[in-house]
Amino acid sequence: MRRLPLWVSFIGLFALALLYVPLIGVVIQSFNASRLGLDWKGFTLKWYEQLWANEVIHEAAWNTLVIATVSTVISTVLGTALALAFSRFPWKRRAMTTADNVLYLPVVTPEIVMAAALVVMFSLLRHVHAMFDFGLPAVIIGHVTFQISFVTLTVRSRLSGLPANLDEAACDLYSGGWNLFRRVTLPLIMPGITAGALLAFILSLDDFVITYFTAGPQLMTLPVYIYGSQRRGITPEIHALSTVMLLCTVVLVFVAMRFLQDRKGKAAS
Amino acid sequence: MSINVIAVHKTYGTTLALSNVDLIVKPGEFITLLGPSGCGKTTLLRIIAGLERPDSGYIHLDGKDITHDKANQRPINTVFQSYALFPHLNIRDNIAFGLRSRRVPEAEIGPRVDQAVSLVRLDGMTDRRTHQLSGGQQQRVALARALINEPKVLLLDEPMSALDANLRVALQIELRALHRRLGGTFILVTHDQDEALTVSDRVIVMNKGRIIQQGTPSEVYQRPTSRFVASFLGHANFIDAKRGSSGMAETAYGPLRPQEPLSEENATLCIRPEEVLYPIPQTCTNRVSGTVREAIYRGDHQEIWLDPQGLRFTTSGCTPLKIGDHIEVGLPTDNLRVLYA
Repeated sequence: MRRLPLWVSFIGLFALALLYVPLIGVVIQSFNASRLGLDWKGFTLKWYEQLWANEVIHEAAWNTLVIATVSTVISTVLGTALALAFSRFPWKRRAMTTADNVLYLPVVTPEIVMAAALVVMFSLLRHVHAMFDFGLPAVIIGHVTFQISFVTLTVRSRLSGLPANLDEAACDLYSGGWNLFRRVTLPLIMPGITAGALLAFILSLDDFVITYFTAGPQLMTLPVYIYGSQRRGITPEIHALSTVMLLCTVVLVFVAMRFLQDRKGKAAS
Repeated sequence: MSINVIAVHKTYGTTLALSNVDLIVKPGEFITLLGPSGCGKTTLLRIIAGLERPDSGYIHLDGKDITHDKANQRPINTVFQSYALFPHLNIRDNIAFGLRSRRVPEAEIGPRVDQAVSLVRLDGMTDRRTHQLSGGQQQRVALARALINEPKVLLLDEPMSALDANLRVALQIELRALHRRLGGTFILVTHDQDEALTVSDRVIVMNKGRIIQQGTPSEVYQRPTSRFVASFLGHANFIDAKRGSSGMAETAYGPLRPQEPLSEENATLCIRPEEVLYPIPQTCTNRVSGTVREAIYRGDHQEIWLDPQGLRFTTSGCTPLKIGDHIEVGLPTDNLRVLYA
C-alpha cells in the first residue's frame, strides 16, 4: 500500500484532535487537584466525592434515569411495532420510499424546532389533561417523539437483513399469529430491538434541548444541571459529572454496536 | 394421499402465472413439476402448500376441499429452495419446530427428533447451529424438519438447486430411496430435466402457466408431444417437413419415412441424437449423407454435428470420425416422431 503524503496524514490527525482533545481535556481536568484548572496540581478524586455528595445532582440523576428508562420502554415498543408494520404491509416501492423519508425526517429535523413545536403542542394539550403540563410526563413524551425513529430504523435494518421465507417456513410448520411472532420473529429481531433501545436510552440521557423546553421550572436533569452550572462558572465537579456521563455513553454505544454487528453476522450466514 | 388440483388460475397483476391448471396426484406418488423458470411450477407448489391463494379453482386433499385452509392448517409440509432454516435455533429445535407448534408433549418430541435425525443421517449434529452446516447438511435438516410431521404430502421446491453436481446426484438417489421407504406423496419442483427423470414416478412438464405434457419419465422422454417437451428433456433434432405421397415426408434431407404419415400439411420431425444410426445398417431406408462439421470426444462416445443441416448425433462405441469426413447416417422410421406444435 502506498503511504499517504505527509500533509494528508497531518490534516487527518488534526481532525481527530478536534474531535477528541476537548473530551480528553474534560477527563483530565476532572482528576486535576487545581480548582481553576490552569495548571496540574496533582491527581485527585475529590471532585468525584463532591459529586457523590451533591443532593441536587442525586435528584437530577434520578430524574434523568427515570426519563430515559420510561421513554426508552415506550419508544422501543412503539418503534418496533412501526418497523414490523412497515415490513409487513404489501406496499408499493414508492410508498416504501415515502415511509422511509417519513422516518428519517424526525432524525434530521433541528431539535430546537421539534422542541418549540412540542411547547406549542403541550400548551394546548395542558388544557385537556394535567398530564401535559410541563414536567416529567411532558419530557418523557418529548423524548419518545425523537426516539421512535431511531428504534424503527434500527429494527427495520435488522428485519430486512433476515433470510427470506422464515415466516413462510414457520407457517408451513403449523405456527402462526402470536406463536410465530414469539418463536421466530421476535428472537430474530431481538438484537435490533436491543441496539435500538440502547441508542434511544443514550439519546435520552444526553438530551438537553427538548428537556429544557418541556421540563418546566421544577424538573432538573443532568444535562440541564450542567447547562445551569455553566452560567455560574464551570467547576471541576461538572468535569467529573461530564466524565461519568461520557463513560456511560461510550459503554452503551459499544454494547449497542456489538448487538448490531455480531449477531447480524451470525444470522446472515 | 391424493391431491386434486381443479381449474386453478392465478395472475400476478397482468402476468399470468397459472392458466386453469388441472392435476391429479395419486396417493404415494412421486411427481415432478418440470419447466423453465417462470412457467408457474413454483406458484402451483405454493398454492398446494397454502402459501398462495389461487384466483379461482380448488385444491382437494383426499376429496376434502382445502382451498381456503391456511398453510398452518394443512397436513402438508415444504422443503424450501433456500431451506429457510431458523438461524436462532439449533438443529434439534429446528426439526422439532412443527411438533412444538402442534403442542406435542416434549416426552414424545425427543424420540421422534432422534428418529428423524437418523433418517437423514445427521446423528451427532443436533446441537449445532444452522450456519455450522454445509449446504447438503442444511438440506437434510430441512428435509427432516418437514418429514418429522408425517405430512400427507411433502413438497420440495428445487431443493437441490444450491448444491454442487455430485452431491445433487447422491441426494436425488437418496430422496428416491426415502420415498420408497416412507411411501408418502411427494411433489418436487425443478427446472433440471435430469433430476425430474431420476427421481419421479411421473413428470409434469409445464410452460407458460400450463401443463404441456405428463407421463412417466420414459413416456415424456420417448414420446414428446411437442417441440417444447422434446427440446426441454434431453436434446433433439428437429426437421421441418411437408406432407408427401404414400406416407413419406418431404424434408431438406429429401423424402423420409416417419413413424406415422403426416396428418397435416406441415409438421416437424424429431429424432434424438442417440437414435441416429451410425454405422448405417442395410435395412434402414431413411438415409442422410453429410460432412462432419464438428466432432467432440466424450469418452464413451463421440458427439457429431453433420453439415449441411447441422444434424446432431452420437456415435455408439468407438468408430472415430474426423472433421471433414463424408458419411451416411440412418434416421430409423421407428424413432422419427411427428410433432405438430
